[in-house]
Amino acid sequence: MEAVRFVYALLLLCLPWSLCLMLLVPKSVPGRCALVVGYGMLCGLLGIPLLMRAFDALGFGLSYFGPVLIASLVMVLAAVLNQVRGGFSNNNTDERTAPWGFFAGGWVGFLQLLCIALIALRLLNLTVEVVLQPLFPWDATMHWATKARVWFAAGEILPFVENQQWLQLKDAQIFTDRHPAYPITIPLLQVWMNLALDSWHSSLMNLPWVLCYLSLGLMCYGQLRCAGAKQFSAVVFTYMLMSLPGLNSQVALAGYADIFLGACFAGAVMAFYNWSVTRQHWQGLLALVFALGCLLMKNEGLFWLLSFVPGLIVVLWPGRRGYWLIAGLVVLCLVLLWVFPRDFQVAGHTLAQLKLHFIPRAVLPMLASLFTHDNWHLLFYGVLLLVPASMVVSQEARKRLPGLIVVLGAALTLYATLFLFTRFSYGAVHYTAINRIGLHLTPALLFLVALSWLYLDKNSASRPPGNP
Amino acid sequence: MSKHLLGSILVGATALLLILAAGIYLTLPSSDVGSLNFEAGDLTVEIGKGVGTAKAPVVELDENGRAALAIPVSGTVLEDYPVLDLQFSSLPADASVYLVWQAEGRSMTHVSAPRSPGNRVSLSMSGQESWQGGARSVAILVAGQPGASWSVAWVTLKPGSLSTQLGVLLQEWLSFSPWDQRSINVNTGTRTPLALLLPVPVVFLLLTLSVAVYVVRGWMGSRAPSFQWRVVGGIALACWLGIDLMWQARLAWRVSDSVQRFGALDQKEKYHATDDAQLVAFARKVSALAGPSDSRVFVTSENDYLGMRLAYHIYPVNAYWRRRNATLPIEGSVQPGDYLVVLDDPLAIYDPTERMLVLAGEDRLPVSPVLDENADESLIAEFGRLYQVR
Repeated sequence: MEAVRFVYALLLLCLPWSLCLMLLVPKSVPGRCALVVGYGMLCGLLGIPLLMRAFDALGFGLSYFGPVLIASLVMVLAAVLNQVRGGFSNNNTDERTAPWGFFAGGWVGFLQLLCIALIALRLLNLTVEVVLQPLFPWDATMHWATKARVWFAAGEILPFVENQQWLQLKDAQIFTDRHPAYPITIPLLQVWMNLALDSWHSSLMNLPWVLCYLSLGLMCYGQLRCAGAKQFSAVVFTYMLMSLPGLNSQVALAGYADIFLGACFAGAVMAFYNWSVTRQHWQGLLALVFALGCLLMKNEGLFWLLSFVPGLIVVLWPGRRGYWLIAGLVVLCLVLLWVFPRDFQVAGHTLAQLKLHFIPRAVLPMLASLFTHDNWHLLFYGVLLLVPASMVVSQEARKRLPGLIVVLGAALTLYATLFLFTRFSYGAVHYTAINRIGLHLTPALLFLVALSWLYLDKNSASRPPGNP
Repeated sequence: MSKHLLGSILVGATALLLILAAGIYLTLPSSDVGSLNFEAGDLTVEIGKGVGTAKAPVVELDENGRAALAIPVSGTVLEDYPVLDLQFSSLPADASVYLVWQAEGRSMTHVSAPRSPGNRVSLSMSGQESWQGGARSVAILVAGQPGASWSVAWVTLKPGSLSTQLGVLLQEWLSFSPWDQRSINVNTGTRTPLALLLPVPVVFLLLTLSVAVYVVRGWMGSRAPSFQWRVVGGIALACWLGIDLMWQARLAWRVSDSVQRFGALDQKEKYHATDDAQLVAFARKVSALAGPSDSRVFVTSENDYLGMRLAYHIYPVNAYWRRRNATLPIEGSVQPGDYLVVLDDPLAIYDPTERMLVLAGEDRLPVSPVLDENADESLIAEFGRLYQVR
């Protein structure tokens, strides 16, 4: 019985939300199937914890059956509506032949098959690792699963407060850990899996990490197809994304929130790009939902959400006006940082705590993390070389990429500021946080690299032969 | 297109090998020395207890879980021997291996030495700044469970030659070590941080050379096709696949390690197969005592890892642990009925005559020892004691 409940709990993290998205995404969209399943899964990873919070807030506590009821109703309703609107199949001929298209002959077919096999093998390896390993990594037992353990045992969301406050309150029903103010989505996902099993299981509760990994790959594939990539290119870049060691480690040693934030940010960035090109409402909606979803994962989500502001300005006011507006905003931010009182808080930290000043000893570790260590394979060389090359060579890239480049440029600037100008440089110098926080951005950066290459390839393919 | 692609990669790879060989050759020490080979009987026990014969010493870890064998290399010029090869005859599965050394005029240094399958350790010491000058002492240190035993078959210090350095480099790239707490933070792409070269810059060099070959061939050939980004993409994919296959192999090895460790265990037994085994047993005792009374449990430890892990295993009982702060909270924060777990905290001393816990700053708390009698002595020796505030 537990097995059925458990499988159904996993299913509810995906199916109802994917069916809802099927109503939203037009049938003619290339890569639609991957798109709705990928985004649907990530939607479920955000949605089920929100349902749990809603039930708890209404006084029903944390139960399995409440969210099951609502999610099942949504699933049935969405399935009926899909049926009424003409069934579940796509209009896109490319999509309909996709399962066979993956086995095309020749070098391209072989490479495509190799990439798919490598993705499948890794997915299998990571799933086995998650199923076998008891909760292992440091932060997981310091402030993520602590809450899951307490809430699962109590059957409700009990408050966690700072150490000092806990000492003063002396209340047996109030708890403390290292970071009581972190968003609660991740521990609730672990509670959800344990509620399905009806017992505390320190390995199986981490299966949402595998789902998140899978959703990231599917979203990437779907959005690249939407952006005009051929099936082969989309498969290759999806493989590249899913092969990143920094990403794989987060799944194998499940328990941290960074992969969820990375998936949310990437989901939003990819949809933002395609919205900026096509102005399709559903892409805009996906961008908005997942940009806001960043806030539900980790406190840093606020920074990545804010990085969309300059990108949006560039898209809505292309040309010099937009860049002047961004320059004005940057100056305003710097002035505000200068004049605000030292106890002003930014994402849970006061300005005084951040100790803003340049820390030169963090520069080399940061460069090592990005360019010489094997955290991201060759990704950052791609960012460094392909993105500028596409902007120089391809007129189409110059027209379409600026919004995306500005979003990711802003995010990278904030990332560099965090590790080169604040006390968090410790995390770069000792390699304790720089790659984990880097994971928030790398899936989106890989999408940018993929687009840059696509524009370069399109440019060279459109030239007449013999014209270098 | 595939002809251009393969040709460029092949020429690029050849150029890369030549550059690597030349680079390593130029950095080799100039002195002409032979290998230093040591049998097990040549080594002397420095820490721990020797229990085997003089020819085949077996070493038992002391009560702190440490044992060391010294290699007789006093006076040897360390930089002449940039490679250390070591074969264990036996080694506990959960033990950690370190190489500890001191050169004249320098302080003691140590590096972690992850083993390859078959309990073999190969270390390239070229990148170690302190592996220079005359050796004062060099020793193999093993840390693990007190009382566990291990032995060495042989140790070789090898002079730097091109083939030795390339062999060690390949071993660094292609051999594996289990997951550890750093794995989620950083992946250098090598087994140890001592590798002479990291794979990513080397593969990027291969990519650059191959693209350069492709571009040069394009310029030189009279019937050359136009520059195709697709070929560059193909070269990049080949390089990516190369570096990724190494990572994929590492991942697969770690999965098989996890299957061996946890595959046959049910959920409750899994932690017994980890480094936390004793900690979990201790935490379960604490939870069993404190849980039913809705009491609060204060955990104090100088060791952040132990304190944090113990607190985690004590939850859902209401636990308190503060990072980088071993001392117990000030008087007034605790109340009668609360439990105190004192791990390796030298600042909290129990005074049995007055039944008081004397804390840093001379604060005194009236307590009753709870896990003193009938407790598993090894647990207490390993971790600490449990008290309840009176």
